[in-house]
Amino acid sequence: MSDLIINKTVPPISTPLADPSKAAEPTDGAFGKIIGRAINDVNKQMAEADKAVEALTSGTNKDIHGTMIAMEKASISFHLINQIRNKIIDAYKEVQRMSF
Amino acid sequence: MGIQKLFGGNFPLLEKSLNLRARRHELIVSNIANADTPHYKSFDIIIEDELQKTGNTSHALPLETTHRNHLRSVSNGFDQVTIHTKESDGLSLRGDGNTVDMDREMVNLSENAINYRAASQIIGKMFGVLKAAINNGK
Repeated sequence: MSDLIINKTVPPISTPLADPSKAAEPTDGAFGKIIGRAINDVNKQMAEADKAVEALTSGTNKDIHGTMIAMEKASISFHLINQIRNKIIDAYKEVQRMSF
Repeated sequence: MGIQKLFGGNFPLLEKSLNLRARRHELIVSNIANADTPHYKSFDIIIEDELQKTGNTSHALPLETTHRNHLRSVSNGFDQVTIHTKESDGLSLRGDGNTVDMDREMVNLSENAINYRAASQIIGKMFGVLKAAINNGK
């Protein structure tokens, strides 16, 4: 039965050729997590701005400039995350167009 | 998601607030115009009270429509905001029964104008964010 083993010196495919101690750390979705957290932050900021607008409009809060600043922050964050999303999609398309 | 939900959130509240503030401006101006009318009683709208009264209805339970013949409620809670005018309790400063206090009317006028401008800027910004979301941030 030992004849069936063709070449004992060839290492099994499953073992990585590189040093296993230097293998890349598991990065399952690390980038996705960063993006997800950023989107959550923007969403939270917009919800806060909405709450401030409601309080100002219904008169429970007289802080006009605070509301304006909160709204502007939320708006800028939203525009930023939107542009980041556009860039990510552009990068994805770039990779998709690559030919090997 | 229905298309009417696009303009949900604070849009109805801001619209109502702008309507009420425009009405209040007319009212204050008419008070000022009648500053010399004998027996004229100045009056006012307290906008914040009206908006707070109905502001919480958006969190109320909606009516379920379990049959296609059930009528869907189209009001958004702010339709019921009505304009209640209130005679201001200003003392008559003169002998002719006129209660218009010019200083107070001027304060009300500029306060109302500032709040109107703030509300219109806020709703403009909210429309801008919606447009940016639709146009891919352009």
